[in-house]
Amino acid sequence: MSDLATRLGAGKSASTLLVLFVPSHDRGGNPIDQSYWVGEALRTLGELFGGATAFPQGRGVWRDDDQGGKLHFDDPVVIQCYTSADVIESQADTLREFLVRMGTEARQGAVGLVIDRDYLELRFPQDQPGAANG
Amino acid sequence: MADNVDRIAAKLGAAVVGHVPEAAGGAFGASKVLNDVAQLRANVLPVRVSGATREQLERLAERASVGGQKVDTVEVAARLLEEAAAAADAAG
Repeated sequence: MSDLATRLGAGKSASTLLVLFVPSHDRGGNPIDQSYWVGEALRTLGELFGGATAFPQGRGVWRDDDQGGKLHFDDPVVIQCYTSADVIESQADTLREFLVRMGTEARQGAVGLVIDRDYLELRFPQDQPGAANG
Repeated sequence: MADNVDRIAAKLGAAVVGHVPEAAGGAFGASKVLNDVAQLRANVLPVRVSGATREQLERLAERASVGGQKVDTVEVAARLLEEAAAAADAAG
């Protein structure tokens, strides 16, 4: 495989898939400016990791345990980005800034992302605006 | 999975909620990961546990899933909690 990569002039450094979900509604069920947040997410991931791709809306549901398990139906945009786990770790502070901003300004209960096979969430407790704790 | 995911999660201020099947790129992968995460969230423990405890629960759930019957981590946690509460009650 490495010979093939060498012949193609390709590297294996960008082998970690980062997936970010951009919501369509806030935790109160009100629509948000999703296209703005998709643009902001693409800009952030582009600057940090060199590129990203947004895919059309899916249909999802999210259970808000801070609201007694209330279900929030959502039409998230899925953004994918190939990078490496080491680069994600080195850029984590800046990535966190964006995720906290989106979670806070778009009034989310949580912001989710996948790194390879792990699903991570930054949570924003209802009584602590601006907080994000794991 | 990434070896340093716990460090990444700590730096992001995030919790590792669980594992999903390996995500693939492209539109199909995007659709699949959305579904995988929805399924994962349906089984999320409504309380926070450490990564080590979560992995223990996953191992126990896998061990308990026999004969085609799937046991999830929430069921395992609930059973352990019931037993611990009963034992604490009996101990006075």
